[in-house]
Amino acid sequence: MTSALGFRLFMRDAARSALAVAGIAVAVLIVFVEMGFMNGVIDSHLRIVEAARGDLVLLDARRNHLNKWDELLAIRLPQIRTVEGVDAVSAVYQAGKTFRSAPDQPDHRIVVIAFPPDDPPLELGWSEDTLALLRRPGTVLIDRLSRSIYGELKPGQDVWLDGHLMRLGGFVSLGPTIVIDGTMVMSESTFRSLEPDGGPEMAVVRVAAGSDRAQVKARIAGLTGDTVQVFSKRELAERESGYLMRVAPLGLLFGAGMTAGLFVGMVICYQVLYVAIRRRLKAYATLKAMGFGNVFLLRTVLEQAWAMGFIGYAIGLALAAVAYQSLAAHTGLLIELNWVRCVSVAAACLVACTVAGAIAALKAMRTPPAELF
Amino acid sequence: MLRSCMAFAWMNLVRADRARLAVALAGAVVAIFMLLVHLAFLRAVEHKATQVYALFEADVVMVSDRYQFLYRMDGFPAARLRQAVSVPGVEAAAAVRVTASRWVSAHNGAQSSLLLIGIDPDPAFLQEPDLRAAASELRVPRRALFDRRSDIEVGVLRNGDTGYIGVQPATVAGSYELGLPMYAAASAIVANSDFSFYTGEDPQRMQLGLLRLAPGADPHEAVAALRRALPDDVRVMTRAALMAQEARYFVEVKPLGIMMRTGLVIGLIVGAVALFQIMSSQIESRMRDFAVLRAMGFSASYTYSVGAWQLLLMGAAAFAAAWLAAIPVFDLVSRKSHLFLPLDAWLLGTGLALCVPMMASAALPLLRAARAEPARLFSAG
Repeated sequence: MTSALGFRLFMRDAARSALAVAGIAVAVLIVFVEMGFMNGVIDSHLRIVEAARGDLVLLDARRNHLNKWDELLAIRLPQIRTVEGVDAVSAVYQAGKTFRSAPDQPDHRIVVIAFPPDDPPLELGWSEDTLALLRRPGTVLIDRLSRSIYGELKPGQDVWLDGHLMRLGGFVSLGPTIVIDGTMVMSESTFRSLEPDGGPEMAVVRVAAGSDRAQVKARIAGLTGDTVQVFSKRELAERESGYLMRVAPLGLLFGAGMTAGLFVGMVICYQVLYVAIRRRLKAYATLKAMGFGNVFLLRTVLEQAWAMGFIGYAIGLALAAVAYQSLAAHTGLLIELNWVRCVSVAAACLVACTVAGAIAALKAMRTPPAELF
Repeated sequence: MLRSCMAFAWMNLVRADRARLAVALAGAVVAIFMLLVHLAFLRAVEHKATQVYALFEADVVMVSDRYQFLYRMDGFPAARLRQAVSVPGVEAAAAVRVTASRWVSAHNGAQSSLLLIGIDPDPAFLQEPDLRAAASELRVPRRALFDRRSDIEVGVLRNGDTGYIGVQPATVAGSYELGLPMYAAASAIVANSDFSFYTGEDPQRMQLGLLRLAPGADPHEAVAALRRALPDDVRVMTRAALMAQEARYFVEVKPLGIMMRTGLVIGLIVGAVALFQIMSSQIESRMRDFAVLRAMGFSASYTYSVGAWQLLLMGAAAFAAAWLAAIPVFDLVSRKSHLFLPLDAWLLGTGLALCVPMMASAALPLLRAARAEPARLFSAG
């Protein structure tokens, strides 16, 4: 019966509890937003890695991050195709081009991605129609998630790339990064009409069924020596997020924000509990005089803190879900919630509320029963 | 009166529950630090975006009508520059060419991406001091000036080092300070007379026109006159307008602006909450003292000013601590990321200005202090 005292106090002090809940909800929202920005920058940068339809990704040795576009030697692809255990190798070309949606429209830089259309090495939300359009020479597809600077585009309209007239066939889905505002996709042969020379920026390797990936990777590395870097998708994703954290002060910018958010939650939770305890100091002293121990008092206060934290978190999470949609729409970045992120913020919230509750409880625990008089 | 208020405020702080005070102050420090970081970063992005234009001295500039931002710079006919000089109010003009190229070290054959800039070696149009000093070196053909802030992979280049820009040989003849890692690993400056030699581009086209106006000429009138006189394949604007447009691309089209401003707002909220909480708990614990003061005949405004001084002292301490914390952090980050993060008067002023609404909302608990009633002294609790 006594175990629910904290929750009952929480219900009884409804106005104060609501204040704490609101404060914690804002704090949780702050943490989620800052976390969303940080993950958004990284996740968006990794979209092209995630889109690779294969087991291994090959880059030129000099391409030490994906914002650099060193080319592989074209000869590497047929070479690697001969490696035992390699099922297929597909080239991905990338180039920055100037895009114009109509002769009187301003120019905008766009990134062109090209590959052999029969077996696209990237998963970009293909349909039978878009794949058929990709095979048509001079037809391009645009990333529907590109930033709005490119204007309203309709399938079938003319577009200009570096002054070359192209036809817009349809849409694919990839999404911009911090650096790239938009992406256009075309077949290898259409790409060659813009850039006759040069090797691919990336190659995607599919390992034959039954072959060991690590062995195939080692064989490719043995063949190409130190001119090519071979990654599994996961290794490349790790290298790229490491690169982003290193060059851009993401940890500093968004880490400070997350810390500040947690702090706000803790302070509000503490402040409300502290005032609540002060107001009921006599009641707590009475409890002690009746023989209830400090553990009981601590639990009572912590129950209130957890109730505030739990409801505050739930509201904060709901707010964050709405905020993420609007932020993703505004920034074009991949800003999304997943279980790991929800659970880690919940854990941080729990810790913050527990600390706040425990510090506030000291006040009640230190009160001698004599205070009653 | 003033001194007694300050002294009283100081005593209140010193005698307060130290642990509570420290925790709440730490929160304000984190918030103000966050404010400073986001402000500095936002400015660093704008600075980086416009830095290349800060190399040059010009009242009015000309770019192609297809101009988007530095790295995607379409050319316009060089004849437009000669036309511009004939417009009244324009005293002199210089051409700048920009293109993406490649630097190959003769020492080890390493290749890096290069942003190649062609200039007229006329110090009058150059602003960066090192560039002004070194520009005369470019009067000798096949010489290039290199960016000291190039990527580490490029290595340190000394005067006399040789290599290839594209496929043509060049000798390093000097250096300047720029650093544009978002465009290329390195940047180099050559004379306009060498630019086509290195790039194979049409010498009749150029990317940026620099115009100096006659003394006393109004830049806005000159811009209007130039716009009337020139065909619409060029855009004419003041250098400041071009720099603002460049910064806008990076801050508004890219999501950096929204991210940094969100951070600023969060910093403000957190700072306000932290200071509000400490103020309200301090006032709460001193209500009896305030009531005694009132009973002794001190006015409500006296209690206000004691509280206000207390808040100011805490705010100043938090700001100072955040500033001190920023010194090593900014230094480390700017060395690692090539971002320019100075702790200067602008940051100080803007940071302090943003703290005003934060402090104002934290002052709300003072209203409670003023309500302190002598009669309360005798009530319970």
